[in-house]
Amino acid sequence: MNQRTSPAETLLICIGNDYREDDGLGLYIGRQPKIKALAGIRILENSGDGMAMMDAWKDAGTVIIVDAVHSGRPAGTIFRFDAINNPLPANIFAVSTHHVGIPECIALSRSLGLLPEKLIFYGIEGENFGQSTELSPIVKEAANAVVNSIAEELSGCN
Amino acid sequence: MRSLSAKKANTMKSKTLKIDILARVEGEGGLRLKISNGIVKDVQLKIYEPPRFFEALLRGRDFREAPDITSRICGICPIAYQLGASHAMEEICGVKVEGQLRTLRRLIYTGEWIESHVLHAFMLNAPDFFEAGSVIHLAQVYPDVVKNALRMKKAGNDIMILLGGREIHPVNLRLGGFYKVPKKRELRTLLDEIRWSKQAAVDSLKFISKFDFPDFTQDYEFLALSHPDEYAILGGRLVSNKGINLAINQYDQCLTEEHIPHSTALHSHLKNGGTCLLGPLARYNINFDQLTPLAKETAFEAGLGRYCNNPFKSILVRMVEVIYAFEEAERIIENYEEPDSPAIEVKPRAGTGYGATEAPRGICYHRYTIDDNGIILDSKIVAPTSVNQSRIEKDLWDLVQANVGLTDDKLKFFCERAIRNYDPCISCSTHFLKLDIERD
Repeated sequence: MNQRTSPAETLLICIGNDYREDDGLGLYIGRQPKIKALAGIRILENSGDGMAMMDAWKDAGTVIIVDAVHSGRPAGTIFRFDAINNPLPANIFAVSTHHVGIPECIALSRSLGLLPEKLIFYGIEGENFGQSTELSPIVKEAANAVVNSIAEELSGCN
Repeated sequence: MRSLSAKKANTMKSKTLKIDILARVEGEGGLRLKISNGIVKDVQLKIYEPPRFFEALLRGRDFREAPDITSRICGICPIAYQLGASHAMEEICGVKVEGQLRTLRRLIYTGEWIESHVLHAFMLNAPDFFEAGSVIHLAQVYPDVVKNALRMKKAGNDIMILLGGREIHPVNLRLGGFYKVPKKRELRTLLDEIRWSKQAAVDSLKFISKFDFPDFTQDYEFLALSHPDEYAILGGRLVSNKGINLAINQYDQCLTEEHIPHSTALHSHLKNGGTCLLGPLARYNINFDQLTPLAKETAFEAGLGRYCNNPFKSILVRMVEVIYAFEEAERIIENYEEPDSPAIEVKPRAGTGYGATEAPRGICYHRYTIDDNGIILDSKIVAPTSVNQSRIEKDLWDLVQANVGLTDDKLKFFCERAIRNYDPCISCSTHFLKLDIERD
């Protein structure tokens, strides 16, 4: 049913909710023209359902995930993790009792041998998670910086 | 596999044990146990997720909006809300959805049962039987079992996506039917995975049947919908093993809700003050004869009788229902004929209507009153976990008393495990879990 990502493509998984302020930053990044214009990229928006993410990345070569995080660091702080070689720190994600989240899905995929060759996680510390469609200025600035980082990273790959 | 026998130590102390956040359940809540001199004095299933006021925000809205608004109550069982609301509105307006449109509703519901039951059985419940912290540990020991579970769940999701537009909060259902119905050939693309998954579900049930199940039975009043022609999903009568036999529009005569101080979710119980249990065990016990031969045969092979009152075995019953759901999905698709129209027109008229369907966790009840323009004047929605909460507390009381000598850590784990048997959906009932044990 789902469109598959070929190993030659990069799958960008943008996680978030448009209506909860900085939680929408992953979606914002995936919608930027500079990202959409990248060669060999497939963009997948996801509301945080880890199972759907696992299914999407199992055939992919390179996967980049972008999402808001909540670690207590200053708003706008950018995190970049190589999730293949290092487990993601669970304490930067909001606690969820009924969704299988990103760290769990990566660990489950690792146990099942379903990880892609390369899996990069970009997280940005959010400031506000209220009810609005606007990103906080400092978070938007960080999101734009991540857009540039992804573009540079993928240009280097291609 | 864990020994659950009670130990006699520490029975002369009193204390409170607390589980602040119950893991691997749907939503957020906690549990507080008070034990004095080895006697359980209080059990409180605390639901602290904020109330969401869906019933209030429906008032003043157009009757056609109810299915989509109420589906937002739960990402795991949106179909239960969409169809409960639709049935109630259609009843008010004198519309009966039958034939292939009704059959397509049953098909999308099988998708919901499959994804919900497989998620619960393997991701949330099965790790308990291995003293494993999560499915990640289970996957290290039994990778093929977990891979197969993920594939089965995806087959359920695919039914939801094809018929509903997406697996969470589908957008293609409406009063009177659907916005768009699938072509015969589109539905048939699902068949290969459904057939593979049916056999995988049979194999999975055999695997689960080897688990070590605690010996715990209760004298439940099981309440489920029962339909003369089919294993009830979309409707029927409210039937219990202890004498209830009522039409859906008599639901309020049978069950009542009340606020209790320790929960933001309403507690629903029988009007005579008793508790009842909804969900897979209830459906299995009330409607066993209507399961398919394969589902019955696999149930017997797994050690289930035609009646089961051990909540720890609910994982087996969920997988029997998964087998049934795959068979039903296969049967529906093989016999599908495209309907002339995707929906029947539903024109508003003043009145009160009732709808109830079998959500994965049990009967999900809706009642609405609308005016001549279709404006919603009043609504009542009862999620199955609202009804099951008081029964869970009763079971925990008995379980903790029987195992009161366990260390606090073991008792906490046992309680969490027991709660997971019921697959409570706290998101729906507020709506969960912290454990607090007080011994003095």
